[in-house]
Amino acid sequence: MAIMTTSLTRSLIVAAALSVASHAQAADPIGQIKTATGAVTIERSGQAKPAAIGDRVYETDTIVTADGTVGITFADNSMMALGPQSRLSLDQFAFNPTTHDGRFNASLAKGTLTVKSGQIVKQTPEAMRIKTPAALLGVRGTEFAVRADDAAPATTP
Amino acid sequence: MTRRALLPLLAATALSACCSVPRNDLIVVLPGADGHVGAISVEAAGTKMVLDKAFAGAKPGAGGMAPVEVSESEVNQVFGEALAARPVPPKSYTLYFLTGGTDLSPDSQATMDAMLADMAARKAAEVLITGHTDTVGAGADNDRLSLARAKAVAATLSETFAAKGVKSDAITTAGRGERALLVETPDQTAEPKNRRVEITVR
Repeated sequence: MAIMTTSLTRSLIVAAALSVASHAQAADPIGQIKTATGAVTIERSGQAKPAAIGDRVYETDTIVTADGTVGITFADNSMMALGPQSRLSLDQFAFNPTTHDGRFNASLAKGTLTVKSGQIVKQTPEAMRIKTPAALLGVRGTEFAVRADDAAPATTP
Repeated sequence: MTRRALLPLLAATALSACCSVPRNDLIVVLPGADGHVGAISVEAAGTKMVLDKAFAGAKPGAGGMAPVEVSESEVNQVFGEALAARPVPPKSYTLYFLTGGTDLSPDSQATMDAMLADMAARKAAEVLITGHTDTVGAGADNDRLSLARAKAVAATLSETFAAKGVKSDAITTAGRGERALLVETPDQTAEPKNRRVEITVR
């Protein structure tokens, strides 16, 4: 009986934590644009809008550059920058500022990306993952660069 | 395997190489400004490798993945524009307060001035105020105490930040409790250096 109660309590706590987490993800910005040159667009909820320095970015946003470049600093101090003709989706971002537990998943469909990982990876190696049409990266730290080619058909592992 | 059996296999390999469009993917580890080199694991085309040296790279493609040594000039050529677009890295400043109040210790006034100058030099500056405690008391209580300390500092500095053009929605607070000790101590140890507030400008 004691075991059942504990298990039920734990389920309730997990459910409550999940509901808080999903609410926070829907509402809170996860990062901010710090550099931008040329044409940069944020695709959000099916709509594309031009992006500028100071704009906040949110989970599930897709950042697109044409002739321009963009640099973003995220809530866990991780940083990403895109070269021209690039397309990056911020698939999943969760970060607990007290414990530094979190997860950061992004996809580079095409173009060039430089990354410096932050507190999420420092706390949990490989909690940041970058997907390209050809490869899946697990980030243990700290700085790296990725080019994704969209000329060939996708062969996601 | 006999020579006879090998020939058709080679022919098949050549055929598949000839007819798939070559990809131009590249992944490369970069050394940090402080010389630190990290590591990333790369999974592609059924193979997995770990890159853990400066300028160690991988070229994934439909037929597999090859490790490559990338030169610094190639990195600059391929990633030059993305490298130039990198934000200024976040920088942290640690402030100490006179006991029992919100007045800065004399040493911290200079730190405060440097922090404000850094803030003014950045575009779209954000401020993260993080409180820390020593190991006296329970962990959960220290979480609350460190957050309260961060919020008190945020309140104290709100006018200063506003005067520098930093809007209130660009200021966030966090409490790390006793998770990030500046000076390592056993549990239940009073240590003034651990009772601090860190201000990160980014």
